[in-house]
Amino acid sequence: MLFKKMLREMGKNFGQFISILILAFLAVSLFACMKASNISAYNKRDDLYKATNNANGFIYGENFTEDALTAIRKLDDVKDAERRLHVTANAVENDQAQLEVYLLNENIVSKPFLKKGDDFDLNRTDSVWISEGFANEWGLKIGDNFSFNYNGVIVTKKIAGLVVSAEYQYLKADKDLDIVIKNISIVYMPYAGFPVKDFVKVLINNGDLTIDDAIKYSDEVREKVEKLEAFGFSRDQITKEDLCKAVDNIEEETILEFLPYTEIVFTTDNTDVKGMEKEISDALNGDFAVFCDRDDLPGMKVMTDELAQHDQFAVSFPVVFIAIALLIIMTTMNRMIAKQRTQIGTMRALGVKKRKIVLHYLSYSFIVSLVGSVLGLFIGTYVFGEAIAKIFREWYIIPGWTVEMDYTMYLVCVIVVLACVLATYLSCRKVMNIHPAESLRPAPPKSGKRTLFEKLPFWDKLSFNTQYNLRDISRGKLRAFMGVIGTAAGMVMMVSALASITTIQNVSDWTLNRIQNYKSEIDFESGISIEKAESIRSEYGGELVQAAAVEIAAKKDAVASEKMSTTLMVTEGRDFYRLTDINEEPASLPPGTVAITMKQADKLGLKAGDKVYWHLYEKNTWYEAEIGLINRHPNLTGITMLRADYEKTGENYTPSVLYTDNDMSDYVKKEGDGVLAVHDDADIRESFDVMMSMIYAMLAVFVIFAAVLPIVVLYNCGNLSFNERVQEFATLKVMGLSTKRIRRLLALQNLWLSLIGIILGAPLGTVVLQYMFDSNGDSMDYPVGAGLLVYLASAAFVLLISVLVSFMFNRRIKHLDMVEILKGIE
Amino acid sequence: MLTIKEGQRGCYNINMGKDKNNKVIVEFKDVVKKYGEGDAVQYANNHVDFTINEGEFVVILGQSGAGKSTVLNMLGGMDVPTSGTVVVDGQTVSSMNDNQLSEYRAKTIGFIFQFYNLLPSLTAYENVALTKTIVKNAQDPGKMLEAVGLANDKHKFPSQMSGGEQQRVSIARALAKNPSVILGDEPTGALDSETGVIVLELLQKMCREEHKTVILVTHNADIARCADKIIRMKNGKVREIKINDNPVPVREVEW
Repeated sequence: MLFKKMLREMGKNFGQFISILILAFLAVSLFACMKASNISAYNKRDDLYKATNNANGFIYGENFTEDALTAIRKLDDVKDAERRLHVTANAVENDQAQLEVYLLNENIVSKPFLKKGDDFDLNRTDSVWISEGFANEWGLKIGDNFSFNYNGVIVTKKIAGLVVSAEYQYLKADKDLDIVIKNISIVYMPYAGFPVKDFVKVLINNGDLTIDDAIKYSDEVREKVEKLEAFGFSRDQITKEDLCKAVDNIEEETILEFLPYTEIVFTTDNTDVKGMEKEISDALNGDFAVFCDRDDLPGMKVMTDELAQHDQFAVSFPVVFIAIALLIIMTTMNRMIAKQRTQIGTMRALGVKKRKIVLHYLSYSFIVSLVGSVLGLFIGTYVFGEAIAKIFREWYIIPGWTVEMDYTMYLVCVIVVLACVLATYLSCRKVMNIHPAESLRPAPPKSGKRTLFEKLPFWDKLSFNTQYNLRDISRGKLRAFMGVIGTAAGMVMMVSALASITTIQNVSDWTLNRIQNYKSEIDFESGISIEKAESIRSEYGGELVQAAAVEIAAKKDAVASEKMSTTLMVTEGRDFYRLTDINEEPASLPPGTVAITMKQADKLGLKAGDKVYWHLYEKNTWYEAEIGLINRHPNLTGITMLRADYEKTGENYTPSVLYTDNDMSDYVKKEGDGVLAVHDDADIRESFDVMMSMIYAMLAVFVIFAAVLPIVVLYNCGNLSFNERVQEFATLKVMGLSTKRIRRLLALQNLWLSLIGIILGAPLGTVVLQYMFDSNGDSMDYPVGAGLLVYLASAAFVLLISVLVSFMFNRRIKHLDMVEILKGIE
Repeated sequence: MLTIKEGQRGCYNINMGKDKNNKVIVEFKDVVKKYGEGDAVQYANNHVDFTINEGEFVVILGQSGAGKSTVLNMLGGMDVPTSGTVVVDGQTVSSMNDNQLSEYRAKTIGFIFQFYNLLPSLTAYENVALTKTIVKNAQDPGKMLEAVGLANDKHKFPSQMSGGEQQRVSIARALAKNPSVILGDEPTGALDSETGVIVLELLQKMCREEHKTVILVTHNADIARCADKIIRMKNGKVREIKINDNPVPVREVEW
């Protein structure tokens, strides 16, 4: 019987119960959709790490010998270790795509994860294993030939397998602003498969390897040359051809030494990998450049940051929804139970046990919140979560990534349901504590009292509508608070959504108009000689810039945790590649100093005038530099210095790019011209367009939430307010107040609450958006900018919702049954 | 303007000599109000006919379910007849639309409820002043409260007042609109007899001195002795219409 009563009353109070259901659904589904894809990502990533025996520690140096590897293997904490050579090359037939080539002579640590084809085999020197995504983009199949160019040596092999690298869940080409799968691939091949002799000959022909180098390199050569010189020969008489012929005669094993192992990777159970630096340094006698763990490598770190960001969102956003849902549930149940006071009194007078009555009312919120939560759990996981996973699968590479549930999601369901039930229990307890005889009578009317507003000096001059609503707000503070919070949350979402557009537009303008002062970008092949780079510059004009990986620190002899892996840009100061100051305006770098990006300076506690220490990633020589400028760049972090200052350190200036005003649209690639690729700013614009399309997708989701939240909250507030005041409205109607004026009375309060919500929510919108951009880590610096238009448009939207909600009550006011309602006042 | 004060109640003598005016202000012509259809049909009013003259003090009498409140609701423009015509002050209420009904309720009718229906968040003064937002020519709220003997309580909220005081505020509110007809639905129903007397005296005074037409609905036959006209209803029909040539002063009535 009581169940029937419950169903009927739910039907009567459909609006309020459906709001509770929607909010419980939103809270759980939002948590579930963020969490479901994350849980799967974490689990599948762990599986991937296990399957590939992915390395925990990465040591970089100029040349790791067999002895160095043995020394590392002997360390107690090290489980497995392996040497490898990692070079960056370019695909010959695939738009010069960037290739991260790993030459292996063991396959123990960080093994390629096979998706299709044959397992990696060290004996198959005629084969390569390439990234599955890249192969799919280019239509490359097992058995196809695949060619790449490394420093002028063209290597052509058969594709034996399509793989995934656990070290590159995030894979972005250097030239791209965002992930473009077809522009980059990982390539694994046996070390012995690389045509070292051809490579050495290219070095000789380019003048990068001379007889003097050969003498330095080999005692045998030195002895032979010295003997020849004793017979009156000169070194100059040994031509490039002679050297190339000599290369042909060198044994394969010996010549391989021209390709030094630049990395040692190892696995360990030690959770403090960075803490192993000292023992590694001792084992290698300090002969290494950089030691880092998974968190230092963008291929894994970006994914870790992304998942951490989702974890953060999964907590912060649903907390808002849960809080609002609880507010609504508390007020709704409070009002409903207060309205049921005489019924409760009657049930108690009839002898229904207290416990049964309490359980009856608890079942209202239990059923509604349970249905909302369970729907949220499944739809949030399998619909919204899968949609999110699908988007992220486009960007990150984790095989088998889909959606999964875990105990935290069940826990959130339980929390939402328990909180709803508890809110109801507290409301119920209040009525239960009243003596049955007393609860049979209606509750005494709320005593009217002076409100704070009445102390206003102009109170008497306010209109009836204003006074009436101000007093009503004082009487229903929780309801008013709920309305304000709901609208504020809607406003926050709208401002965040719209400001994300203006922010991206600003970053686009910043990049294209204030940082880039050129028309075209000419990327050089790696290792290009300075002479060749300069000759290209004299042909097209412009500015040469070198980009290199470096480590920086705020003090000398910094330990691993005090160092930061970042980028060094060396410019010629010709104003083609500009630096911008903290206000994002072009600024010049004083000669003799370096510029450091703001976020990195803040993290290291550095300011202008301080010293910063840096070294090239592949070398172990540290340099000191004075900071002359704190600069900002949307997605390039690190330090920048002038070429003259860089050359003063004794390092070779090896430009990687030429920025020019020359129109390069007619450029035709010539063999050996040292040019890798030519871009105009259309490519950059395209990257921003991709970003904008993502923002628009996000905007759609935000607009939906921004609309749903104020609709649910304001409707519920209006509903509570209407139900509470229905007898007053009926009285007013009997007195002759028209429907229109009563609607205006109700709408006025909604309007006020909306306006307060809008004012409170407006500044928070940009704060939330900045938090979202910043949660991407320090590699991005997107200053959130929202113009007046953003605020006006957001406010207009939220106000429109508020007005629409007011109209929802139009019909109810019009059809207010004065007779029935006034009869009910007893 | 007469003022009833607590101390004067006993010695106050209401002028019973009323103007005889034969202008019909309320006309119920063959009014039917039914609910349901077929076998389940129930008549709240079943072919009700009566007229009320301007300035009359009328009591509609009957037991629960007699149909008296339905009559009052239709007079008040809160309900519409299934058939028949209701004319009040020359206006055919039974054929008005929503806006016209609002206008009618605002200008023609003053309603007094059994449970006062004051707005709890407004003071006594503000409850009366509310009429200013409804009609243009509303009377001064202060004077109205003075007329009902509440000049010193105007800043009290309803919850700070007794039932009788609240009902007097409700009367002041009804009168402030300067309506032609005052309708009272068991206005003394929630009051003790002493307070009820004060309220009825006030209504009778409005009728006699301000020439307002007062129509009260009650099941209390004793109150009917004060009325000029008694309409007795039973089972939705008018059983008797009695003209009382000698209405007794309210003070003489006991219930």
